[in-house]
Amino acid sequence: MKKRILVVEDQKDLRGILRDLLNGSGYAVTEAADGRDGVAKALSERPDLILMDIQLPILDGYEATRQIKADPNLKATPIIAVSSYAMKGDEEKARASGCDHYVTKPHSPLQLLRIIRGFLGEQA
Amino acid sequence: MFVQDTLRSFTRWRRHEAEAKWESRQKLLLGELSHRVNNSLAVVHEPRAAILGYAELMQEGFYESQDPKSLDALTRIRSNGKHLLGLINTVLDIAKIESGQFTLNMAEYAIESVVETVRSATESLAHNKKVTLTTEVAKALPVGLGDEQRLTQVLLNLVGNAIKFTDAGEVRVSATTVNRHFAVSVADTGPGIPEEHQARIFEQFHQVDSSNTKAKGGTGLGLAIAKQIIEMHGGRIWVESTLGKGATFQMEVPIRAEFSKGAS
Repeated sequence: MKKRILVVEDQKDLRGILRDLLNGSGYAVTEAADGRDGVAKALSERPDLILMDIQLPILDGYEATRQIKADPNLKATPIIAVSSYAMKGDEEKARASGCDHYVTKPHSPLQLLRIIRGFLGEQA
Repeated sequence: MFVQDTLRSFTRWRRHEAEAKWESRQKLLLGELSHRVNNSLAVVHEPRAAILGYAELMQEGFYESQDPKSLDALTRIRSNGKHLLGLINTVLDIAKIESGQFTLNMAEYAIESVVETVRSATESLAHNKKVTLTTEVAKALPVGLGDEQRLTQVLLNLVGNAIKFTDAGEVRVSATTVNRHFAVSVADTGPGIPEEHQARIFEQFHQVDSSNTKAKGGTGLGLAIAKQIIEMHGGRIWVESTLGKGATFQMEVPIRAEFSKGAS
């Protein structure tokens, strides 16, 4: 059974990179383009891991993370925040909202893959 | 005669006025630009992440059909993409400085990790140029207070320059403390900097040899930004050099710096 990853990212090209990276590495990918859809898909799909952009339309990544982590079934699902750029305090905010890890864009796709594998308990 | 003089001085006055207008418009534009950019840095970083991200996936074999030539082309796309991002960031820094919006994020940092970050970021560059890169960090240095990201940017600029201008020689980075300051120096065995240029290279767009600009790929802005960052920390930066015997860039930054916006 392939592990499933939910990608919540509003920018089409960046979503495409993550899709190609993860599909090519043996994961099944579900996508959401805004925070509200991200929460809905997290609840319905129960993915093994979630990549969460921070600047998102409708519901931002912090709030979406809070709502997902409030669900008892998803409490233990790792959420990796992927932020457009690093500002002082963003990482603290992401962690306060329940994110398990924080990476800043522009990140290298392969570096991100290593972090994902670490969270899923797989060999890097 | 009188009419001519009057006309001439009028023309001169108009020119002054036009220049002043142009200058103030330029300042407004720069301010606006950096304001917008501050509000939406994603505007720059998203296309960058897309270009470099896809290039990396292609290079790493995530897509089919990989002949060596296309891999070579991808390497060039990636390195040029990175270079372009560096240029954009440089221009944005200047825009922020000119419009008084350049600020520091003060926090505690370890100078050792600044040196290490710069070493690991530049070692392949040094290796490709057959330049020996060595770092020498004094033991048990105190915890600093300052903008780690900006200080890293300064040291990266100095080490990058040193490697760029040194052919098959040595670049030595050292860090220690002197009178409640971190003293960091970058010494190279490159061609050296003529005395008349040693102070002026910290001015915007000043380059020792403008014919070098294209070959070395510099903007002439890096050191001006570096000086700004160091002075905002209450420190100083200078160069000592003898022609033909290399150059040593040195900076001294208070270990516990206080952010002073007034520096220029």
